[in-house]
Amino acid sequence: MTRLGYTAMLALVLIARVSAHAAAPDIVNNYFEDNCFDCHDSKFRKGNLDLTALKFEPGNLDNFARWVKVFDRIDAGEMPPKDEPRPVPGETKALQAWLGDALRTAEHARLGDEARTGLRRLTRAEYENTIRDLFDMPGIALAGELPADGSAHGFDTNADALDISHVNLAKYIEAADHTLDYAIATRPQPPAVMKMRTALSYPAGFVAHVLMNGDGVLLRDKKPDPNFLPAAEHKHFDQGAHEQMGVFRSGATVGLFRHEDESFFPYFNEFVSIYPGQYRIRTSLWSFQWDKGQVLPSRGTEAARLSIVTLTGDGRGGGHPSTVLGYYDAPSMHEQVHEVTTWLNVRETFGFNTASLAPVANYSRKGHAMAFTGPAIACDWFDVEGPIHDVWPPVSHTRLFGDLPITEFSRDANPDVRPPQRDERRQPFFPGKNPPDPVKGVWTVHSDKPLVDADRLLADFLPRAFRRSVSDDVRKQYVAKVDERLKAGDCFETAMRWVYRAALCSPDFLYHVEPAGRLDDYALASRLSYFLWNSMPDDTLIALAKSGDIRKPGVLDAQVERLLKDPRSQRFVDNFLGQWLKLREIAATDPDRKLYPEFSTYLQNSMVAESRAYFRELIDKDLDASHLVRSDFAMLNQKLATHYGIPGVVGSQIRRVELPAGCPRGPFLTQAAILKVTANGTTTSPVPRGAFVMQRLLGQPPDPPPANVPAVEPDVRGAKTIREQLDKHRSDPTCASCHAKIDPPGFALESFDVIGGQRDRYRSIGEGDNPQRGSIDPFIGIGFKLGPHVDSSGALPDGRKFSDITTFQDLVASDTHRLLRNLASQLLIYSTGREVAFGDREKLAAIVDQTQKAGGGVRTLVHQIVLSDLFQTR
Amino acid sequence: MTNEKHNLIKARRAALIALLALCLTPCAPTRAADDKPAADDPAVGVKEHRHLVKGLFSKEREADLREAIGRMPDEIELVTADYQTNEAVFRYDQSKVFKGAKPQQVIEWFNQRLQQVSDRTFGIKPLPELPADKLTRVEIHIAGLDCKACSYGVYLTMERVDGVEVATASFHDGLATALIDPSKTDRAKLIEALKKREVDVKDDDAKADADKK
Amino acid sequence: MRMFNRPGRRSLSRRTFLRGAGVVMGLPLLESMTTARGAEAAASPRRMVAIETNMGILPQFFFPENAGRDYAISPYLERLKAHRDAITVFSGVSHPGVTGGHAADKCFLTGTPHPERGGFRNGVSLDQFAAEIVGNETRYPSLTLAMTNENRTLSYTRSGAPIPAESSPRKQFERMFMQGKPDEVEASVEALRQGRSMLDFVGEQSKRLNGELPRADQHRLDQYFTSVRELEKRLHSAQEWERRPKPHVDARPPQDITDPREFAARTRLMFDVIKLALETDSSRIVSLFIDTTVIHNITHHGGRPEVIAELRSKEESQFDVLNGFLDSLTESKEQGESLLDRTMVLYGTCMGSANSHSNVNLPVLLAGGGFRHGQHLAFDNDRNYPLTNLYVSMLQRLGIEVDQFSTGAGTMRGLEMRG
Repeated sequence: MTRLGYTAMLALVLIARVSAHAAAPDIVNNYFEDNCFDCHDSKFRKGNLDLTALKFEPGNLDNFARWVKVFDRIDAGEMPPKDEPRPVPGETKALQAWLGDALRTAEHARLGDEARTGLRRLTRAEYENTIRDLFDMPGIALAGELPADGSAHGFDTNADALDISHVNLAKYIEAADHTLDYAIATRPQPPAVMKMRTALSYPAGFVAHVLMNGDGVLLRDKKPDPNFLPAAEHKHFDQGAHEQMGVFRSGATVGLFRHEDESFFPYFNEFVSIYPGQYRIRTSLWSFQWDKGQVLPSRGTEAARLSIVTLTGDGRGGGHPSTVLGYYDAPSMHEQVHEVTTWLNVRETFGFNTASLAPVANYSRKGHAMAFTGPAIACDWFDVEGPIHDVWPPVSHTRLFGDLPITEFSRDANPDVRPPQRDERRQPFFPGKNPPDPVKGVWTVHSDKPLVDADRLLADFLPRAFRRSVSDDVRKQYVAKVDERLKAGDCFETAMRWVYRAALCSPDFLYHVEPAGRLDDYALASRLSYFLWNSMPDDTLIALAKSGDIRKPGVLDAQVERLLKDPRSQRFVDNFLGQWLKLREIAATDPDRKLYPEFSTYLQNSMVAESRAYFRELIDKDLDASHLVRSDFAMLNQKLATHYGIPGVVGSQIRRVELPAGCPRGPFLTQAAILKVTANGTTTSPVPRGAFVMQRLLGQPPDPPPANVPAVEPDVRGAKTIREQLDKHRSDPTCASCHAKIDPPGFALESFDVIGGQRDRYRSIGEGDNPQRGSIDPFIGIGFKLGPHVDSSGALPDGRKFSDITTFQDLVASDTHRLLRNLASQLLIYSTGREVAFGDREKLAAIVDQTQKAGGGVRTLVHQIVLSDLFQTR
Repeated sequence: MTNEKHNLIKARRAALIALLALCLTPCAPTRAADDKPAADDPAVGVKEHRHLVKGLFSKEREADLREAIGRMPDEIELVTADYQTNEAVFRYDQSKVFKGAKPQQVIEWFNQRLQQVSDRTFGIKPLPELPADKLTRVEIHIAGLDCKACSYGVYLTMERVDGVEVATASFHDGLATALIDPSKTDRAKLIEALKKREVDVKDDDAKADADKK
Repeated sequence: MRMFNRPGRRSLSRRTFLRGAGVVMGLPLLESMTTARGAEAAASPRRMVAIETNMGILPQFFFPENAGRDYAISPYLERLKAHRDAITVFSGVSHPGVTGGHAADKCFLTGTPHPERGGFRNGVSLDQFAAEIVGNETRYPSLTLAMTNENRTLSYTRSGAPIPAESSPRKQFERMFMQGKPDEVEASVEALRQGRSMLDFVGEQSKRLNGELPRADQHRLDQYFTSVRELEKRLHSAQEWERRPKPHVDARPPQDITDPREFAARTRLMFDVIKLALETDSSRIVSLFIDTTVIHNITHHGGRPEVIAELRSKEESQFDVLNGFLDSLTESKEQGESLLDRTMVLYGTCMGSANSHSNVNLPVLLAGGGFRHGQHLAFDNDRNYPLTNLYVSMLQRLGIEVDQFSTGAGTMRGLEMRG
């Protein structure tokens, strides 16, 4: 057919408005007949695809997806395969032009003009962050109580992932109550600031017990405390006697050898929080080498972990839920004082661990501490001060009640009014010695003109909480409820509490309310702040929305800069990476103890910190997308650097480290966190790792395996390498069609084990040679052997070969455009709450182009996304 | 201890016991003031009083006791302390320091105040009912960390056994001793109490007691 | 080494808990409301306990070699041999289209295909479907329980939202049996009333908002409105139940075991609470998710014999616990029948082999409930039979008239009801 003929057909077909033609139109059939049916007919069905039977019904979702796949494979030049005869010149282009239009049209017909991003509620994290910011209570814990969100297209921001059931609603009501309990001030003055100096050796903690047995020692002036000799041939006798004698409260330094384990949890539980709020802690840490009674310089700086522990039940025992506060350096023989300010909820205390030390036990060693030589971390003291309130009543209260006075409630003056409910604050747990600061009488906000005040307060609160302007009518409905409650005998505080709770459970609060089509200014401000702060817009953004300035030239760019520079943008880094690179699943598997004895929680936490810091660096320095797979620097602390075999890094804090040439470390591709989440704790396999690289880094998700393929059972006895077991992937052409793409990145990554360590030989439990200790801590027993050699060579589908991980990295890094495009796509899915449609591809390409023109950096990409139509449209 | 000295102590003790017995017979404080001449009344005026001290289990504890007494707000002076007998002599004016206390309450009040300033590691007990010559002395060799609190633990273990009137313990010396009421307990029971708590007892149970009088 | 905070208390607590457990004052049946389904249904209530263990069951020790009534008992089924006549073991079954390795664990009771795909929306779970219809006859329409330290659950609503499970036996016990004090009851009733009033208000707000939204959004906000109504109904029901006294049991609340590795002991505790719940007719529908993630390592045995041996031993102990549960249900009598005869106990897993994450040939068994058991129903290992057909049978056993559920289009071939 001539070019004219094609064009005429095209026009005819388009005019006929292809929507539900059963048989594929001629243009398609002809192309298929010329180039495809030889393999893809009903007889041969190569790759399980029979194109003769494929109807053209793009109005049907499944059918649409199949045709998109056809389009993509032709577009990528993968079909017809390279070794087959080429199509007539121009034939492909014409087909693609027609097919693209037809698909776009069909998609448009299906989606209509309606909102593409489904109406969605706040995710768990968004809900918690919104409350935290709304009430300035940065640490209130709410997300854990809410049912888990789902996941759609990799993220929880999609409406399909965000169902709501009566259970969610019940939990929202509880959460609102909890929030209001914390937020409302119930006294005229803040609770007295408590200052306490405590020690690890506080008797009701666990450390006193292990000191008796020689798993730790007491020191004075960096020498053993003469009042408490190190456990030697005998352990100490009668802990109670020692407590009475004040041995553990003498101000001596505690030197700890023992790491936290299933029966040992060092807590500073002389302090247990009674009031929520900000607390300042200070502690003095150092490390030493203990040699049978002598205190000597240690092997270097050690790292101690502090955590916030939520005491449950009766507060006794250990193993309470906790979150890591941070890791802190303990330099050799030299005290370092650390200071941290953090939010505590009620019933919380602090936990401690000798994170960088390998597990040792002296309680069962003959001679106990006096027979032990090894490293220790020393804690001189631990100070807690708080709750610290810069203003009173706190912001959480003034958000609700403005500056209404807090006065004592008089039952005589209010005979028909029920006083507000009050729970007495007590020191809830026996080990805690900090006393409450009780207030006498019942204090509550006072209003002379309750309905006027209610109206005024709601006029401030509702638009702030709902992130948009609220009509007078709606506000009046709330005020009417206040009136009702007052008439029913509630005091002002209780009546207002009723409507505030309702507001926090209303769909205006729980949902992202966005008009269809182009976002209005409030919706844009919201979308921007939920993108980069995972939370509600602040006053500045709201003001810009209100005034209409938000869309003025330069304003959005300036706001992106402001938001990225704010510490709250860390939530974006954590949330986005947590889902995009599956870091949320970092703890889903426990590495096999025998194969990977050097694994520790400290290493795991450091891994996640590395990935987050790396992404942060890409944003801060506007680095390009090649850095996803190759880099000349890494973000490391001492633990990671040692794990990776990179010398010269000291301390627990993550910092940028320039890498020598040829070092594969640095980018996401070779970061331990990614290598761990793509393995199962015991073995690695090129298939999940390869699929991960394809899907998450390259944006080419592979097809799922055919239903009747038996799963491979990996063999960890060292008999066969996984590569050998996957031989069918290469030898069988049906498998090869997908696995030629999936396996190569996986083969390259075989250079790394399940905890991200580099290897040339597989570790095995069965046969093998004895390994070198390398950087594994001297106290860790090595029981694994070295098995077969690792072969991390391979070839990309286009034939280019690589011999190892670094040559692979070079190959992949050259495809910066693809990497950038996928990152853009992921950021769009995350920030807009919808997938990238077929019809969006052009706009996506435009974003990527603009970014490339301006240097291709990640920060630039974020800017371009925010400025794009895709972001600013529903 | 020489026989002479011991007899002197015994005599003094007997006299004091008699004196105390007199003081402890029920009588209203006012009556006491009326009935007895002030100079002879042991409750009035700064006088010496001998008490049994809980927690005075080793030589170094004598100095600790002095410190603890010093911390008390009351006007009480420690004259002498002897860990081997767990006894100490104090000088105070009972009518002032323990004003309002019935005679049998004095020891309890003293006990409570001393406990308060010493984290309960010191206390006051009445002197043993049995005279010294009726009590059996027991010696047990022990081994452990040279640690005051560990020794305190041993002391507490022994003191809790019914029949133990006086006890000492020192890992430094490797020795634990006790004065026991032989009708209530014996050396074997003490060793059992120690072994039960995993104290390293060095003596063979079959060895005869070193009964000393 | 003296374990500082690990008392031997836990076994003691269970003994204390059991000592007198099961002695119930007053037959709950005499008090139960007559239902639309008539006195007959009220007279012999049927129950369902659905249990999933999420990390697979070693197939080589579970499946018997031959089919039918004379099947040769396998090592795991040996632990349940006392109840052989009350059990049907299945082979060659799975949920059509449910793949994705671990992702399948959320589909054990829903059967919704392809949980691993983007945009997946789960369907209603078997227990919730049943509870919607028969749940209102008891104080608790259903109990969703789990042995887990994470938020895991077997139960899903109609719109596919997961229903969080209770993981503390103690809390569940207290919820079911601790009477509220009168002023507490009043306070609860008042709080429920206020809750309903607030729900009315936000329901109105959602109607208003819905009117302002584009049409395509309205079905999503409908989900919110439905949730409001559903919660409102439940609060109303709870208000009514609030006034009724809770059943009395002669047992003390169990002590929770917090170490997740003690999952056999923890499961035992939970089973005890379930039995009490059934006996007191506190609920008739129970789902239990047994999370063995903590031994996930060794489910990837990689063919190593000593790891397989360790895993086998752990799984055998799980079967022992199940046996104990079946024992306790057999011993409990109701109008001449055993509680086991009236309670369907479904026990199975979502993975045919956890080592390879395959989701076909699932090890599953059904005990009790009033079926002709005592057989190995073997289907085709290469072309599996839908497990959801079993769910249709189970719903019909509960008296619910359906002939399909999820991907199940009929009852299970070869499984007949009895009585």
